[in-house]
Amino acid sequence: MSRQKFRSLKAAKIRADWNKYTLFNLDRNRRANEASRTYFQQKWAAKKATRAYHGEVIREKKWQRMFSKKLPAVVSMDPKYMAKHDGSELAMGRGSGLSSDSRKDNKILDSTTPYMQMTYFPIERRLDMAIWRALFASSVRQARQFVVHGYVKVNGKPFRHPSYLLNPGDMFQVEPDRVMFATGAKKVNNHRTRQRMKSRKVTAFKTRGSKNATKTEQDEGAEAEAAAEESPETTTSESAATQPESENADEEEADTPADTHKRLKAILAAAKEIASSPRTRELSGKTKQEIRAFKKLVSRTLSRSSKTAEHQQVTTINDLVAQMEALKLKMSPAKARNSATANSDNQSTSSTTTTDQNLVISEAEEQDLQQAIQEAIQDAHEEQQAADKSKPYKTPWQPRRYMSPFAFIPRYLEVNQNVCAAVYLRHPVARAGIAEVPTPFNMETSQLAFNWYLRRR
Amino acid sequence: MPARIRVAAFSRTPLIYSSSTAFQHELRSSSRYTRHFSQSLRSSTVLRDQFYAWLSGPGQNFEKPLPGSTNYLSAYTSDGVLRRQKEETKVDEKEKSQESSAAKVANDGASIDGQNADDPATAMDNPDNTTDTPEEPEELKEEELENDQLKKESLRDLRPFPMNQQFVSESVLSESVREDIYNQVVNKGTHVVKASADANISIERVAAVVRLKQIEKNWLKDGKPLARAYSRAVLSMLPQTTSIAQAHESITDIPILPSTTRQVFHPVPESRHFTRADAAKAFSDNLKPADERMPHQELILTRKLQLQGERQHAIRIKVAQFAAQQEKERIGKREALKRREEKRTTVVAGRRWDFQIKEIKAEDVGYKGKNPKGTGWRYGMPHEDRKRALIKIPERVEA
Repeated sequence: MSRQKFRSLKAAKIRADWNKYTLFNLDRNRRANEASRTYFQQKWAAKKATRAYHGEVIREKKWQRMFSKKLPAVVSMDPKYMAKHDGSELAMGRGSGLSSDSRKDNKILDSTTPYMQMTYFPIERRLDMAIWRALFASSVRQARQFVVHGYVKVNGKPFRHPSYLLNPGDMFQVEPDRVMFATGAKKVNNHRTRQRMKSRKVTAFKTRGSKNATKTEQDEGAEAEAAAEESPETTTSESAATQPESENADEEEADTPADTHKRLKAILAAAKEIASSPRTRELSGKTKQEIRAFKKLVSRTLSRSSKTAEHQQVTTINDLVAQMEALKLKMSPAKARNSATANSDNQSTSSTTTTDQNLVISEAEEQDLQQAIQEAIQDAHEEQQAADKSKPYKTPWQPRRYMSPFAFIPRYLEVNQNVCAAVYLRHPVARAGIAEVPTPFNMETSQLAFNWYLRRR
Repeated sequence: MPARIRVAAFSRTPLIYSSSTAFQHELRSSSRYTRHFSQSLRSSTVLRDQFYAWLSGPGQNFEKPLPGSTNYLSAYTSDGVLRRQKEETKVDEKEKSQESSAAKVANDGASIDGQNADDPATAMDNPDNTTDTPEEPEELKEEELENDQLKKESLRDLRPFPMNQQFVSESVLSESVREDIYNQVVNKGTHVVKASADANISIERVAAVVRLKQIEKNWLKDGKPLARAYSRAVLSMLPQTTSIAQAHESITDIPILPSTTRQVFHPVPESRHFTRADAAKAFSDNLKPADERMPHQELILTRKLQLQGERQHAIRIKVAQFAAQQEKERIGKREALKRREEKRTTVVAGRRWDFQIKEIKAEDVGYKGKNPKGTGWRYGMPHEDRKRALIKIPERVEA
């Protein structure tokens, strides 16, 4: 576990991560002729190579206890074949079928099951390994760190044991921001680069000819000095704290929590005013419900405003304002439409049926509206995330370098990337031609490693 | 003793990357390695240089994902040419004159020097472009054209580990399929087993998809930001099952039990009709035949009825009856377990909590006092939580 030789080119080891060294080692790893080596040497080498990848953080003794010589496998049954035959055709004659024809029909017997590639299947059950396999972390060690630092939930409960062996049906969730950090491109945290970017920003500001240009420049210079001294995390928080005082050039960033609260309250008041205005009585049930839903949304956001982060509040406010504008716009044509339909309906049928009809339509449309609001909120979030300095990763978010050759999700996991959650469906299994344990080694190497662990030493 | 393998499998010493002769030529001619004070080369430095040469050569393909496709190691040749593309252009290459092949060698050299950041494959297609650095918009156009023509990956291209032929990156469910399943199960109220059989997705997976989708919906309702950018990027790197009509996975798997992996000598008369049920019994008395262990047994029934020539309507009714019967049995078993547990415990209602009392026998520890079923600590026995090799963290988390 010595840190220095973790990624060595000389004693090349394939590690459980998405590193470019690993990629290079994977690419140049070829079969070699080792006929001159003894069986013990072969087993030792195989064990050494495979253990560097599979559960490298697990102590050898612990792995020896986890090791099982019973390797799980499944057979895929063909219902068509089973309906046609009851199995007696395979036992006819001398006990192995009358001719080879019956065997031909049965595809299962054709390909072999690669049991040996399942040698390290118990390790795939571990929580840290599963998090990495679900593509929520860039290495097993990082996944382990996420668990230990409390960013992971199992079945909805915070859980801090990376060596927990998942049971079939267990769901694990990782904080999406951590996942974005782990899998995202690196943020430019270099002091010099940051300085350059800042100076570029300042010159752009100067050319605009603003009055506050000199003041902002001074402030930013001071900030940059502070940034040089402090660690990246503290600088970001500090600059965020100082921003409202120094800058008024950027409108969005100038909001304090108190301000956002005030604005939200103002929106709520406006929404209430719209709802209680005498004009609304003339409106259709659909529009009324829209207004009611909007009012509810605003009050909910207001109650939650103390908990959510500041930047999130800004987006929601902008979003809500946009929605209100849309509602106001909608109100006038809707009114006209409503009166027109009401007139035509009054001529033909009673007024009660028209209201019913309106309600039926409005329910369906309300769902659409709700969905549209949700979508709008998500879009706003995404826009916000598009350029967010406070994030520990490069924004707008991009996948990190050298991720794609490692991107696969084994079948024993079902992952929902939107919420960064996954379900461990079952234990990995081998089936005809396929072993579900992702291992970079060939069958012979795995078999040698398996043979090494067959006997306890 | 297990069988020995004569031909060894894994090389402990790293193998020198030697896909193209141009690399080695570059390494030899490089002035960085001719030191004034030492005639010998430091091997680690050579290795490092090979590494960086690879990164700026064939390794460049992996830095960013291939748009609209997976991007695994085995999809490329050792020179960094996409195999699919190579196969397509093979015919064209034959037609080309020898002049172009000479230019190709020059291109390879250029790409290794790191001057040309272009994909080697694109460089091969138009040799004129590589002499001077191509402009960005042109590069983009080329890439777009490539992706339009890019064939779908074969099984060969889906192996992330070139050495492991038994591991394939299998497809995941696309967003639309997940949404469809959620609609089927939650909005239309289809039974999970039925939805699983219809979509060819295993029962556990259908349940998991619904569970995860529900969380997503809740987040949407609460206005909690989803990791959409991440989701889009990751899904574009994976092979996907894009429609419910596509068969996603095998839904009729049965586990191979250890009792069935041994060979059994079970003599029976030749005239005997020896079925799967008999075979199961020969292995173990408790073993059920494959027909009863398989999930989706209704599929066998459907096929059987079809073979008997029954009408579609009749088949549907019978299968529905069968499924209902199975569901009833499943619920009955669960209820029975619950009842048994209730019978064992006496509940005494308290002011704030109910006390659940179970009967414990002191004799459960057995003759030697070491039976793990026994309750309580016995004099001289070490505490379980102090023992080596015992799991001391939770073994399950209640949902």
